[in-house]
Amino acid sequence: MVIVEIINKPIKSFQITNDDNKNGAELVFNGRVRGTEKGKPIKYLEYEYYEGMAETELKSLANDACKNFTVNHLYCRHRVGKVKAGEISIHIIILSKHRKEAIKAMDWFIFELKKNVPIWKWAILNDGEKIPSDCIH
Amino acid sequence: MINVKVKCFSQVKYALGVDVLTFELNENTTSIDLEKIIRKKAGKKLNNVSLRIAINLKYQKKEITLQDGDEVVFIPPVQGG
Amino acid sequence: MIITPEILNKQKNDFTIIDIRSDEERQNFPLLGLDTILSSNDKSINVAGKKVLVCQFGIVTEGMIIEEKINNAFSLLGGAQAWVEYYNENEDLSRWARQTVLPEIGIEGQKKLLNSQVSIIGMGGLGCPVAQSLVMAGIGKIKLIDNDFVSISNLHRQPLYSFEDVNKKKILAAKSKLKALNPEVTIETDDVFLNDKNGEELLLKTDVIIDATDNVKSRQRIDKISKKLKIPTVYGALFRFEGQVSILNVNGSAGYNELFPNLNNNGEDSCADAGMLSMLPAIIGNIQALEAIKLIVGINKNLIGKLLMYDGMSHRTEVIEL
Repeated sequence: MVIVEIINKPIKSFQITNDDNKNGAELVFNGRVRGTEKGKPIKYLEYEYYEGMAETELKSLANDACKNFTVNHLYCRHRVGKVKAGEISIHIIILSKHRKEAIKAMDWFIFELKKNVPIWKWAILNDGEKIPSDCIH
Repeated sequence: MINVKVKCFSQVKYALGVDVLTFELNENTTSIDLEKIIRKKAGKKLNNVSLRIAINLKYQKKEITLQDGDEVVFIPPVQGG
Repeated sequence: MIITPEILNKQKNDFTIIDIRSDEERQNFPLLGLDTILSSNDKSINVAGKKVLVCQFGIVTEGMIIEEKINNAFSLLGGAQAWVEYYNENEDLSRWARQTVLPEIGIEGQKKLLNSQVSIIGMGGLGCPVAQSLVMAGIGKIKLIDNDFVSISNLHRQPLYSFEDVNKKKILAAKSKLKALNPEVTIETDDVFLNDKNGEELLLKTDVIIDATDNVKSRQRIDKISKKLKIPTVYGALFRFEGQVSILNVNGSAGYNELFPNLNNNGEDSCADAGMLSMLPAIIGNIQALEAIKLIVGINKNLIGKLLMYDGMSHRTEVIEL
């Protein structure tokens, strides 16, 4: 089963009810915003996303992860809007029978989402200017 | 003539200074034609920026002819996670 | 547009499912077996393709799709409540969503109704609205006991009978109308006049007896059987613009004989001969049906040991303790 959410608020963990008791491994990943972006110190990042497409790409990737790595459940919550350094920008839980496939699925999922899901970062520099993260030199 | 909406994000938004653009285009305009229009409008700002194309919320790998009412997004490199 | 849990389950790959509920609702009623996108804004998300919107009871999403003119969107009938029941018990109760949303009824109450049996004695002015309302509410099995024929003078107040039904047996005409209202209900018809010999056998398996008769002797007979079999009776009666309802014989509570201890059965005219407008039996019959539902579901605010008296002229309603 797959659950994805794009949320404009601080991330709360998914509460798991491991109903079928088939999952020996519960793997949790939290991605946090660092204090620098491309070497420049930042106050916070602002995530922007293409509503309607980002959610479906995330869901489709999550489904692929479950299928390709035979994990049972993948839940992903990605935060958008202003996220301060230290706060969680992405929260992922994978449930599977054993840990091996969960770890592989997690790595693959994060790698793929960084390539395909239409979410972007804007950095707010110390002088207050807001620019796309890729425009920072 | 067809009407097409372009939503702008990240570097495209930064280059063009707007969230949304609407275009009235000739009937056989393709997605690549529109990309050229956008790049020209951006001056040099999108020169080194690779753009993927999404039409009506789906990635388009191949060049296609645009339809009236399409929503197009030129997707600069993404940065989720 | 609406989609039931059963159909969604068969076609889930064709839809994007968007869950617009609160965190608490999601935690207490997870949409097991479905891949979902959560909407944190209680709103739909503009995804490509067909989507199913899910709220807790299926009512908010229905309204949302209409008011906001959301394209390509379906509301899950009965919402998460119906889905969970379908997923766990393989029972699709979504068509009862407008009842199961009531906290007093819920899925459990609806299942009680679907598994219950009610016998209606007398398919006249009271019997018709009782039967209609109970069938529509989803009672599993209804027994209709009456041996009378439809006559033209019935038509002004007995809504289960059409013009073409005149001279037909009431129970047969009623059965066909009731089945059209709810094809899932089992309707048994007994073409008899209830008496001391057949009464017990007829009513043995019933959960609730509806006294929709119109004469004292029948009511006394029903009372006797109700007490013997320990099956509650929902009593209803009418006279011109006044009506009465009570629930009799629950764990030894007052029965008809306690309600009217000094009645002589002088073979007086039936109440109908005094005259009435159709709205009165409809009102009283529906109160009987409501009390029957309360008995089956287990709602404590009811007319056990109480007599409701309604006056259609002043609309004054009194409920007195027996």
